[in-house]
Amino acid sequence: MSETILEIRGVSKHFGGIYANQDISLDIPKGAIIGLIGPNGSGKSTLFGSITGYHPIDEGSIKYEGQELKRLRTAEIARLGLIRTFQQTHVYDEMDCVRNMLISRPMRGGDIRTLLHEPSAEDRDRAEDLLEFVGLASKRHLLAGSLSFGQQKLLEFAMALMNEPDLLLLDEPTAGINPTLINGLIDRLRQANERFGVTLFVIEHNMRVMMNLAQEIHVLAGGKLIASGKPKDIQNDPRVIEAYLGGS
Amino acid sequence: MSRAEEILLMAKAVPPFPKVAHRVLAMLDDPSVKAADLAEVIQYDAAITAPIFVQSLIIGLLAAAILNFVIGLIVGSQLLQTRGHYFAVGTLGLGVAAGEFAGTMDFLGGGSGMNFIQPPDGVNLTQLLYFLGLGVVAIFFVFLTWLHRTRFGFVMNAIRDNEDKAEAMGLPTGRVKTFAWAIAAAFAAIAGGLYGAGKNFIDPTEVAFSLPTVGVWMLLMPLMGGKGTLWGPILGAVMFQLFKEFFWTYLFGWQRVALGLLIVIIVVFFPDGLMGGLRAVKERLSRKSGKGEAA
Repeated sequence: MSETILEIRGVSKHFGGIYANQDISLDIPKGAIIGLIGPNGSGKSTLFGSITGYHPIDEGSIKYEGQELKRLRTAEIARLGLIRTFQQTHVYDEMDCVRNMLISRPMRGGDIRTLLHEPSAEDRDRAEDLLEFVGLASKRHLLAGSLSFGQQKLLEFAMALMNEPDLLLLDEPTAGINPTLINGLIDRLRQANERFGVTLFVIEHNMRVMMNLAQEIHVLAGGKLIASGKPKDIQNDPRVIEAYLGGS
Repeated sequence: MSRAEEILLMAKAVPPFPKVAHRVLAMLDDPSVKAADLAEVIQYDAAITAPIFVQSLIIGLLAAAILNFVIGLIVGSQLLQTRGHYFAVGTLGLGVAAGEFAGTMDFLGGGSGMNFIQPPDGVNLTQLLYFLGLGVVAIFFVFLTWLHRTRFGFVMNAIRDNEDKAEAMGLPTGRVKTFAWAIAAAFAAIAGGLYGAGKNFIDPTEVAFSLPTVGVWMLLMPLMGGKGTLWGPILGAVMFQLFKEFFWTYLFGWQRVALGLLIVIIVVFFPDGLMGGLRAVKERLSRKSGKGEAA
């Protein structure tokens, strides 16, 4: 049995009287690619927000590499090696792609004195390599804000890899990406997992992507975890079909 | 040992400014002292008080910078936890409160303000302040150029563009903002010290927070040149001074109306200032050449 990198136990989060997540428990094995699906409003992004400290949870526990995350702030969680991307792209608009990459170097420990150095040649090489990896090498000196939505998604993915995460949460990585480029992106996600050893936990609406990519899928509906299993099993699970088709 | 030699010896051994003045007064009452002795002591006094005045001014400015840096760290660590409108209101309130607070301190002259120490003979204060100001600008510019190239500068830019993202990437946004605030406070203290020396009088509630003049002008300068850039505030200060001289010379009586119109024009048509405009042109050219490469 593989080692667990993220352990979620009995997590609940409500906003006022509405439960966005209710008693969710699941494990993310180290080195795996795990999917999270569910209809709109099922609480997927809220769960990502809870894991990364944006929405402090009301009940339950979230442990990363055995360490409780509940009381940690977003930046502290990120410095442990747990990075997320967003549904709406978050890049540094007024800086070029290379600078976006260089800023994303990991800041383990958070000692401010380490900030008083210029980026090393090694950092620059890695930034260039990763831009090449996601196919943005020719855009390296353009402002991030001037890129298309899909290109910003790719840049955000490269920035996340630059941070050398152990666990990467990707919120709809293919949304807004030109359909002809999606296969290439799936390959890159797989390569990131294999080449850099990054565990991926992915929210995705594109079922074809999810079936091709994920080794295991968890399904949320109405804030609850309704199913977990292999992609083929999930595809045929009547609870999942009902959740998506809205059966009575 | 002559009387003058005796006084000179003593003057060398003690802080001379009040002591020498005191001895000179004593010599005036002593009928045995010759005019030549007195002249010698006075010349010595002038020769040593001028450098002491300059040194004291510089030490005072440095002390103000260090004190403000520390205050900036303490206040900033709390105030910078707020964002957006709350931060804007917080900083505005802090400025007003600081003025009122300083107005209660007798050693700062209280509500009446304080006069700057008159320079001794041999010190051209205007020239001294000009070169000190120029030196401070040069030091600050070099320092910021270096800081901009470090990861600290990168993080500051990241916070400017997208603070949520910066936090999600594990950057220590709170600490960087606090240190940036304290650094700015230190240099603002030096600027304030030079400004007070130049005005010869400073009053915490009227001069230091004079909204119709310096309070607005200091914001207008980076807006004109381009905020968030290194050269923007410098270019903005030069442009502002040129416009101000023009308005005050040729539109006197309407000069504030003209300045107000200029502010409106800048905010509406050039929100990123001169440097922002230049950067947009550079970006367009870069995109064009990128397209050319792709083709």
